[in-house]
Amino acid sequence: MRFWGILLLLVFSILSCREPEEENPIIPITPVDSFKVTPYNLVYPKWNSVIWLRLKIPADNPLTVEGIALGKKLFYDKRLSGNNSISCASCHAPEHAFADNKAFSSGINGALGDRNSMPLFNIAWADVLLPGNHKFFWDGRKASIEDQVLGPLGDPKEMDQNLAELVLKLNAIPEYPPLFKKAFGSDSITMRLVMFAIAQFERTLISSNSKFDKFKRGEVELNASELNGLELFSTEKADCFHCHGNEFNPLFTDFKYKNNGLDSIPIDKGLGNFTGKPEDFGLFKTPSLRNLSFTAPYMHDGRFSTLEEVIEFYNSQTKDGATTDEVIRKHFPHGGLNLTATEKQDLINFLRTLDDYEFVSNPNFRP
Amino acid sequence: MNKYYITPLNDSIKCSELSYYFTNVSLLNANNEWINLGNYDLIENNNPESKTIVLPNVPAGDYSSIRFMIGVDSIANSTGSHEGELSPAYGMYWSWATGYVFFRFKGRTSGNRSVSFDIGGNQNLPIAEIPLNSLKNSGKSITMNIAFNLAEIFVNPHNYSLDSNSIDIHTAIDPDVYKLRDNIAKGAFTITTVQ
Repeated sequence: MRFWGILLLLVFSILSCREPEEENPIIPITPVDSFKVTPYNLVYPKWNSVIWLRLKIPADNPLTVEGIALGKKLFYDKRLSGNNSISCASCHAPEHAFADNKAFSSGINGALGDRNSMPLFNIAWADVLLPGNHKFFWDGRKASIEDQVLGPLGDPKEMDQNLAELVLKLNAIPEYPPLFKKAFGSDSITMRLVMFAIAQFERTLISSNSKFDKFKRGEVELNASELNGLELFSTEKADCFHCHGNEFNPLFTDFKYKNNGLDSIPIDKGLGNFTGKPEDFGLFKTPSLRNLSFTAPYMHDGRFSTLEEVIEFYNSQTKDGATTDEVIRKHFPHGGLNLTATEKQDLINFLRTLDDYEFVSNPNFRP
Repeated sequence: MNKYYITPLNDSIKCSELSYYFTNVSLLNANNEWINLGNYDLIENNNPESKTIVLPNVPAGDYSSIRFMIGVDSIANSTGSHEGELSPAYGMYWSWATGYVFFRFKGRTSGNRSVSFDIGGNQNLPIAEIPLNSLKNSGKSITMNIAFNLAEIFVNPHNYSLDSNSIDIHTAIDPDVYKLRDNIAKGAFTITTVQ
């Protein structure tokens, strides 16, 4: 019989032969001139007494107060675009949980992008939960937050900024070289350092103060409708949990790439555009369900304006296709989810408890 | 994984997702005592890094058998720390029932039917035990290759037909789930090399 499965490697290392390896070795930073950074104290949120999963911060780009401040300044600076007219925040605005409210955002040349602006919060956990090279963007084309920064900067439909020119432009702005020196020890600005600074700021965008977070910390109660919505969410009935986590997963996504049945034949190949594999056609990153009230419209192409439309889609309109996820397909024999009007409303009421008003108004995240 | 395989019962199926917990690796020493190395690892078919497991601090000794769980023990299942790979954020979790999804398989038959197994519940925990041709821990690290053959979950001791058995298992009380439990525990895992 043909082998069909997984090969595992078990390495038994002998008692007291060597110390367990450290997960994130701390690399000492050698002071250059008077270069000294202030390590950023990342406070992990908790649910009950359980700390959220620890992040994997790259050893060559640790979080520092100076780096994060610089990253924030760059994030809001319109001079990062080709004609100095838009910044990252133009399509990733704090009041929209660092997304915008359009199906497609317009770039500096007035052209519309191809996909819905993704909100930016809790994105660093994708690094922990996803293997391999497909971690960021709807189609998973980038492997790190640092690398992701380059996407919108260079895209002609977005900021359309020639990267070599950007480095010259920033070096010529008097306020920037001293800030790079404070953050990275060098006043010679490079693209790598721009990516590093913005990535640091993006890693600090943590949303953890929704009504549901407070419920998990025992600070507030949920009403009967919200609790029923949670139950529907967490069971096979509405079957959200296979992809969007559970009441012990504060991220409300698995970050993975799936086809949720939007189209029989995907209009946009998503991850498949990038890998070229037929089994990846029409797969898109599972978005978090936090902060939905601030991030409409929904889906990678913004085709649904309201949560009611989204729920009805999953209830009765999902389509079969070559890559449609089996968790969607398993409801086809029963004619969909068959949710009642009350159940749909309960589900929406639960989803609204994931809105984090403190996150969208947090002054630390604003210029 | 995008091609069809034939099961021992001649069902044709392709796999889109295969994940399972591989935990509590234990070794049977010369005193007939099981030494539990206490690991909790999540294995995912699309994650090559997950397929190498390093188990530190193995006591010196002469071992005659290895045992491991495909899933998590009842204690971790109900009162687990939720830390590391036991974090429910990995998505192998039933918040509405007790604890973890031990084993997940998603695929499609050549007739385009969805096959979706989520195996969980303490009574459905597969425990595999494989005799070793004497494993001596003499101070060097030991590398063991273990093969998991998915075809084996459809046979031995129970024949599992995708036509007559359940292809949509999402509760701990599914009447067919014990068959998959037994088939996973027996014969699906084999040790190919020990160095």
